[in-house]
Amino acid sequence: MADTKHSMKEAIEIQRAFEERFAGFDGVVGVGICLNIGRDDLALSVQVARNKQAAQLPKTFDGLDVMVDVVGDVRAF
Amino acid sequence: MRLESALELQAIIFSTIFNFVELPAAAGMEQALPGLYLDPYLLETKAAYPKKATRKRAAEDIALGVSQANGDEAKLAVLVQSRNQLQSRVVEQIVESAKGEAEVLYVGRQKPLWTTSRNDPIRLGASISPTTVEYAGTLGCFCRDEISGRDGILSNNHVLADVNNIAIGTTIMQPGARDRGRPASDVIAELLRFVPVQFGGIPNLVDCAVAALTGHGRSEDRRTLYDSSDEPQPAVTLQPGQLVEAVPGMTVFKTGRTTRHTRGRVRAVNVNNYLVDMGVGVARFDGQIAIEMDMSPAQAFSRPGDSGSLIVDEEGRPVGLLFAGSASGGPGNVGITGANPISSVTSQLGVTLI
Repeated sequence: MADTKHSMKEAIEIQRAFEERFAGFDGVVGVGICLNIGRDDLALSVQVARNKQAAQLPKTFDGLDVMVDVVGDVRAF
Repeated sequence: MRLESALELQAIIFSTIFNFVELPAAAGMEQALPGLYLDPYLLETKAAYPKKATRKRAAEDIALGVSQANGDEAKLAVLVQSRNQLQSRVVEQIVESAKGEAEVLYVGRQKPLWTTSRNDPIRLGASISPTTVEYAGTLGCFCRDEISGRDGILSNNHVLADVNNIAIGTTIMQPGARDRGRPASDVIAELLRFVPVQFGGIPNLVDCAVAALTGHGRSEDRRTLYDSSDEPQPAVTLQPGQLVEAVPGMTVFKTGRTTRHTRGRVRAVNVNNYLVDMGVGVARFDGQIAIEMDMSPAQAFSRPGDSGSLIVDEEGRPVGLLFAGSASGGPGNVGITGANPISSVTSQLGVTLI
């Protein structure tokens, strides 16, 4: 992974704040840390079940981009 | 007909004659694509759908393609594996749907995937299951139990123990039950231990189990991930002693029972509140790895039946244990795969990869 503007440690702190802020948000099926589109910084990766839930999430949070994937249901493979 | 019309016709046949289920992504698209309709039978695992199929599948032994007619004109190709199906009502319906612009071809019985066959040597990525169930998952890799010192195989709890539901000592066979494994002749191991999957919102770190090898009489290839060829060729040499941590953007590989050898990219790490339908309830997983496909043409990194696959980096160093996924989302909208970090698996289960 190339150098990023935020460190992994900083990103994890922001992830924790995001998880607290959206703890009761219906339809989020996973929150992690990924690369942003430009691949020059870390971003928040949010998996949601449905399109309409994606539209309700912010584009950025505490300085990190929020990358949303609409994945439907997640199940054991 | 034109190529686009032939593809649209395939999608219609998948939906109306084969009764395939539509991916959410298909809804609202201007043109229906056949790849967005999935055979519910092939999606089925025992854990997720305990009831047996009660009626014959319309799609049994029939594949659809496109053949060239004249110039830019295309025809629907109906590829039939069984002679009995050539005169069947299903094939008649397909030809009627194409208004005669269809060509029915007998292609004979297609060879099963090497991953679903009886393997000798036993290979990483091969189909396995307990002898008491009806599904199949994947043998991830070989390992040594730190408590008993016995050599074993690593996979998921939901593969080897059917989500906390199989008694210790239950025999494990290769191939698994869904792939016509036979308890009388295909046993290779016995369930030794699993980390229980917890429900009720309690965070899980792993979905893993170990089965101790028994006297199976076959050879073992413990160090090779094979490719997807019908006659499998070595693709990656495993380095079981060098576990690595996933980082976003990392290229990874796996070989599994359903989609065989695939290439992916770590999409996200430290994935928390990852909610997975285990078939008997939704379980929460924290600290997980999310993986997207990295192949052209687009192909899912994993599908049901690939659970238990060991995920490695380009050097063959273990990264994760595949256990879950979605059917949509990510590049190509072919789904995102979930995996346990391999270091969590070995520490929680008390095994060393060998």
